Amino acid sequence: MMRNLARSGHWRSAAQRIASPGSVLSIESYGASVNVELSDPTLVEVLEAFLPTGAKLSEASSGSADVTLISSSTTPRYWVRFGERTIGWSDEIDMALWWVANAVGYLIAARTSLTFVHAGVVEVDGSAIILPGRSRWGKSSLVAAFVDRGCGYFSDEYAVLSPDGMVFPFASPIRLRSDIGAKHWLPESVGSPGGVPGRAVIVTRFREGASWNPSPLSAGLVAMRVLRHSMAARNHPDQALKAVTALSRASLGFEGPRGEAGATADAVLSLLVHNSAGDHLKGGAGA
Amino acid sequence: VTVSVEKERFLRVACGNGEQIVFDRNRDEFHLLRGVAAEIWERVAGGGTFHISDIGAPEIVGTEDFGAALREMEKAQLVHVEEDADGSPDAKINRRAWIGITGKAAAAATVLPFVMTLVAPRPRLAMAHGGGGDSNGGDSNGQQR
Repeated sequence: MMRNLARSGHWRSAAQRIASPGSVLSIESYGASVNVELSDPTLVEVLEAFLPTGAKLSEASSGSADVTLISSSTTPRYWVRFGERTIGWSDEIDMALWWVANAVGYLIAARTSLTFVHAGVVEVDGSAIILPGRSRWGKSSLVAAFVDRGCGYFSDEYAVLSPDGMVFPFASPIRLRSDIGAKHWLPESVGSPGGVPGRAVIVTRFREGASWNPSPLSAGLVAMRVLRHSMAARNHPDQALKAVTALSRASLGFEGPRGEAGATADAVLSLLVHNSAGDHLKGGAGA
Repeated sequence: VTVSVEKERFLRVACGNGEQIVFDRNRDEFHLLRGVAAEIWERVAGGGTFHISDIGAPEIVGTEDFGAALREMEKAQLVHVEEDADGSPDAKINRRAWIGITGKAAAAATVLPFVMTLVAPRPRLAMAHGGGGDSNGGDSNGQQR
């Protein structure tokens, strides 16, 4: 299932037709748009593969580039600029494109009127399991474990919440780190394009030697844990509060460190079989 | 003892299970209010100045939980508590009683706080570093305001 997206060579699409040297592309998702400039326009095909499903590419009608990918003309080296600032360079095109896609996702999250939460998301039986957390907490490996067990893939980066707490996908390739580097993988089982209700919020991070033995969270604590990772919490607190509390009222909440991703996914799915959505664990205190 | 709450400063949403989340527009902070603190807020959320005996059900005013909740709310700057001069004849709770209540409550050091505070994270912190820490419990990590 793993593949190097940039080298897979079959990402032919209409995208290439809208890119020309020096042109600025507009990428639109959830009502927000981001301008991206590629010094090598042929890379638009593979960039598209790194963007969330449903994102629309077009030639930008106005505005300067928010994100720029500069390719060396002499060596396989790529620089990524965010506005006027160079955020990194790499000899690996996959790495550079992932940075571009990450920057695009960040700007969409900041510009949309929906509430983006930094979280992994999977769909099970028509409802969402949300895994809020920091980078390097192991969200991606846990999302991959859920997908391996038949769950629909929604995102390994953002949960998108509507004001009534419904959860929408932001499905870009999962970045899986290992000792030999990182791989990008877009699961075939991308979840429903429409919104689904929340089922559970799982706050966890990988800890060597730990096993999944979570504490239940009350609805209020679920909301606080999700607000901590909400992109709109500071700039649009009323919007974030409304969406997050709606999600928390509909979702079970659990918190605690975890061990191996597969065992944790099995335990969470088993836990949900025995608890109905909205059946909050009264008095759950959390850590 | 009187308790004052500023009008227009706070945004409030009920979570169910008797919990409320209050956003402080002046300080960019979310507060989770539980138990007695949520009950107190229910009475004062409209803003104004209240006598302490009017902000809780008669059976809880004067209890250690009441004192602890009010002290945590004051510390979080949700309310401003002003102590009357000693001997106010019509006060159900005077300064001496207030000090006694809150002193016992502080000594009890509640395991589960009535008020939990989260500094609203800026977008980059929400994504990369997980945002502000809780003032009670959780992995407090602070952040630039």
